[in-house]
Amino acid sequence: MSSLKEFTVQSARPLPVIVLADISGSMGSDGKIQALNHAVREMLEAFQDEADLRAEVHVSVITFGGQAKTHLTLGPARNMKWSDLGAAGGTPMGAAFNLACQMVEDRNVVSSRSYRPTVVLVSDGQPTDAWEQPLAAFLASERGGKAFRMALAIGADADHDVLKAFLADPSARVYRADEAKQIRMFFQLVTMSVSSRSRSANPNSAPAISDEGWDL
Amino acid sequence: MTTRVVASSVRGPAHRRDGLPCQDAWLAVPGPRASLAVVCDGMGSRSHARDGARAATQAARDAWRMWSRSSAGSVEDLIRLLEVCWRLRLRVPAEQAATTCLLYAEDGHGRAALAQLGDGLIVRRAATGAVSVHPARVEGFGRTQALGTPHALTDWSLDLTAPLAVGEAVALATDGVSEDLDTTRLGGLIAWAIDELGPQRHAGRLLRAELNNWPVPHHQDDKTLLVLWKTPTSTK
Repeated sequence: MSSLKEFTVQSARPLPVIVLADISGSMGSDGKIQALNHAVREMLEAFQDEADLRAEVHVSVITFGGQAKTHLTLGPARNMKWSDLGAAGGTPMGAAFNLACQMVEDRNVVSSRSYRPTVVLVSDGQPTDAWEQPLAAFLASERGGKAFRMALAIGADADHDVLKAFLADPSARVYRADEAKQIRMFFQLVTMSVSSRSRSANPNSAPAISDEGWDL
Repeated sequence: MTTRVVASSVRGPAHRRDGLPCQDAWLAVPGPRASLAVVCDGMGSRSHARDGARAATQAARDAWRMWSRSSAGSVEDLIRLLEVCWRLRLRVPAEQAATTCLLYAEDGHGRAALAQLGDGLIVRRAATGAVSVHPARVEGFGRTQALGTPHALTDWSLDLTAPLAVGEAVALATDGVSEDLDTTRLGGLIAWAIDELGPQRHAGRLLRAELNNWPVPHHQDDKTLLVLWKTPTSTK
């Protein structure tokens, strides 16, 4: 047995994945919320099946529909069980940004050992609260601004400008899902991106995957 | 008073798998008048990371020899010298040899410098057993400052303090070690190195074996740990 065991942390370094999921009333139409539930469950299962990773993937899901709240507390994906979300209420995206900011800045939640988080924003509509200041605070925060960010616009009513502002990178693209099945596809892309990082020599570097050929 | 050192660097599983050398380096000069300890972690994404780390340990020694001739030099002077010496020692472009650098340097005139650029850990243990961690200016999420990347003197975390006395110790570690340490057990780690490894004839070899048998799941990085301490008499 290693003598160093008593001086070291007995867990792999976490790679946090934080999903900001719009579950406002409009997500209840056209099978969108069902597709979102299916896609997130599938992503969790994929992370649970991963082996030989450099990092341990931790997942949290923050929802915003009527109010923003943490649906899944950040923790190892291997222990997670998914409970389906329902769709109701407005789109308090700004409140969700506040929760995400609090989460990544809290050293007790996202430890200093963690690799750079991936933060994923999924929405089908316009924010119904003041989102500019919370987003600016998130992006300006010491750790939030360093997170990898991915965004999906669901349907024609999604606010691309907000999603683009969330990415805060002119070269990054907002993915688009016109059909429910593309929500699942987007989360497969997220899964690939995170898995690629967690296997790479340096999980803090950008994922080496191409989104060419994805119908998003 | 005698200065003792135990240190080792090992290749991490990722570099073993890829057939790459260890890109960490360490150097210690346990002298009767003044001592030096330095550890460096070459940035893995750079093609000459190993050269950069080795050159940085040697540059630290070059700089320390000059700096410790005088009692008037500041820590900033030591670092200015180190940065120049590192560039002069390099035979490759500096940006391809980027490396972190952590050091403890006594000047022989009743002062000691602690300096850190980039990730890693410097921790000092007092004779009472109390430990103090040198505050690093880390960027977080792997974005580390380094020799060979754009940085200023103010990016170094610097301190001028009293040299180690009998019963005191300093430990330096690259992030392959420090990121996995239980921060509540740093004193225990130093005590283990001094009490368990120190009396052994091949302490460095034993430490190497322990580092190669790193107990944290999924670890991949190269690892370097150096512990320097003072004893009242030679205890070889």
